Amino acid sequence: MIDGRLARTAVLALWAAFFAYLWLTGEMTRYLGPRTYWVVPFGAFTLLAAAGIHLMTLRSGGGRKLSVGQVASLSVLLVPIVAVVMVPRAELGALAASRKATGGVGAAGYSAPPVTSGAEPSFIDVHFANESAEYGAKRGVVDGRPMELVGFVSQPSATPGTTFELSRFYVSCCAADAIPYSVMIDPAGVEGDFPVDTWLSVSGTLRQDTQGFTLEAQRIREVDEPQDPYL
Amino acid sequence: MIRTESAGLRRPATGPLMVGLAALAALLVVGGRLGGVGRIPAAETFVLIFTSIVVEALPFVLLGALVSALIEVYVPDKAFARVGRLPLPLQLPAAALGGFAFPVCECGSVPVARRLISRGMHPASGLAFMLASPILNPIVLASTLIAYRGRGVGGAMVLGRAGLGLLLAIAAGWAIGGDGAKDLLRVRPSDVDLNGSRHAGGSRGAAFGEHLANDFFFMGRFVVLGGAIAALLQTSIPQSLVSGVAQTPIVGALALMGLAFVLSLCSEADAFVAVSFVQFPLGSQLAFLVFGPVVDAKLALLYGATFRRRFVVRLIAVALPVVLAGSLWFEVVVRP
Repeated sequence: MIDGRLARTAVLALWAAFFAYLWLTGEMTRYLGPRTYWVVPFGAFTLLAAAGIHLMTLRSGGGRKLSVGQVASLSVLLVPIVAVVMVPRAELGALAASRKATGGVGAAGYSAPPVTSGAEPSFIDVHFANESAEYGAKRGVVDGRPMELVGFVSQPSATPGTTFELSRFYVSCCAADAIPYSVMIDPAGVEGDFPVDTWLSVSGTLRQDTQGFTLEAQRIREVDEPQDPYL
Repeated sequence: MIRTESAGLRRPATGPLMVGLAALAALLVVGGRLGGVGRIPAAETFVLIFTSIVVEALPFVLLGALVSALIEVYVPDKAFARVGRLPLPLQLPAAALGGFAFPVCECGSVPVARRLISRGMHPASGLAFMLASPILNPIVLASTLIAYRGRGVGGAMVLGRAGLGLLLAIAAGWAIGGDGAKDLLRVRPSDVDLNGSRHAGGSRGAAFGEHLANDFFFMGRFVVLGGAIAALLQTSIPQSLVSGVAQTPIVGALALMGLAFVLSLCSEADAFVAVSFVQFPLGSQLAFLVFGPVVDAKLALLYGATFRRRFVVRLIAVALPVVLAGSLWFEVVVRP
């Protein structure tokens, strides 16, 4: 017979170890956004402390044996860890982009990006430059500008050699709130097969037409998924 | 009538059961890996969203359980008796405004509210605190301001969100919290087991550890189940489904409230998602920001386990008209 409190201590310690793993390997960037990275070390320490506190209650005695109900309850808590071991390095890809697209691009008036973009214009800037020429000019997203983008193929070419869509997610707190930002890529003669969900680095020049901005590629190469897959 | 676990669930777990469960987990992992489950886009999306919701929420659940255990073990009864003697019209807004001082997401406020009510705070006030804190807390309001600043309506959205959130918390607390604590709270077997431990002269540290673990494990499993439901819905339902009704204020607000329920976002991040619904009027976006932190798929399970039957239905019955009316009024006020 197993002591119920011992089993609960073990589950707390296992979760603390899982948080420590996410923290030390940098895998936390896969699940969380920069605003909530702190949750991971915080979770590792507090869950470990909770395991320690709970372990100390064992000394007070009077503990009950682990029941079938408790086993079921503790098993539910372990499901996310089992899921991550079963599907490690899971990615948000084209399917998630199609589910999370709101269809709002250019549908209403200009709205500035909710985040401050980095020094070099990226997906978010091109997205908002499509809505506002003023914003585009401010960020240097203009016709003829050279640009390099790293993202995954979210919509492949309809026929070989035609445009395809490259995307990357912006995550604020966790992957549940991920927002896809996309740019159309014109391979412009660069040969290759670019299947859906392939990570690519595309260098080229921005071209503006009535549909918005398209990145006319001069070089396309397949790359590994970045350590931090989000913008 | 106290509902407790069935006799079958109370039976001691045997060695073979534990070994069987471990073998099942190992089989799932090995089978899943060999079967290439990780290469199925829907499975990847589900696992990533599911795990991220749980990873983000669990530390807050622990924080809530910690505060709850502190209240249970270290705050004397007379403190709650004093608060309980205050007139309700004073208690309600004070409790709702208490959310400013408790900067955690909705998962953390549920165990605290439960504990406050069980220790003698008026149920209406406990509910007002629980519903207000995920909306009124400073981190949430700051993220709302940042998200909407670029559109030049940051101040209006913060005021609208805080005002409507406060109103909803007070209205729902008053409408639902009229029941006594015994009629509102669902009794847990662990409460029965621990009954009187605070006063039995036992070690306070041991009681604290026991309450902390009880609340964490109780709430944690519902966060896991709720996270799974939210991830399943996110994986299967395209958000663009609601875009077709964007321009109709009433239907648009209802659609975004429905989406907020499905997405189960953390209130500290939902403003960044709401601002991307540019095709919807601002009033509808406000409805998303006020309704979501109060009622969503993840919380529905948590509420169902914490409160007695029909709590979720009653909460929706109050929240829906209040948020709808408030968002329409907001739309009229902010429309250029």
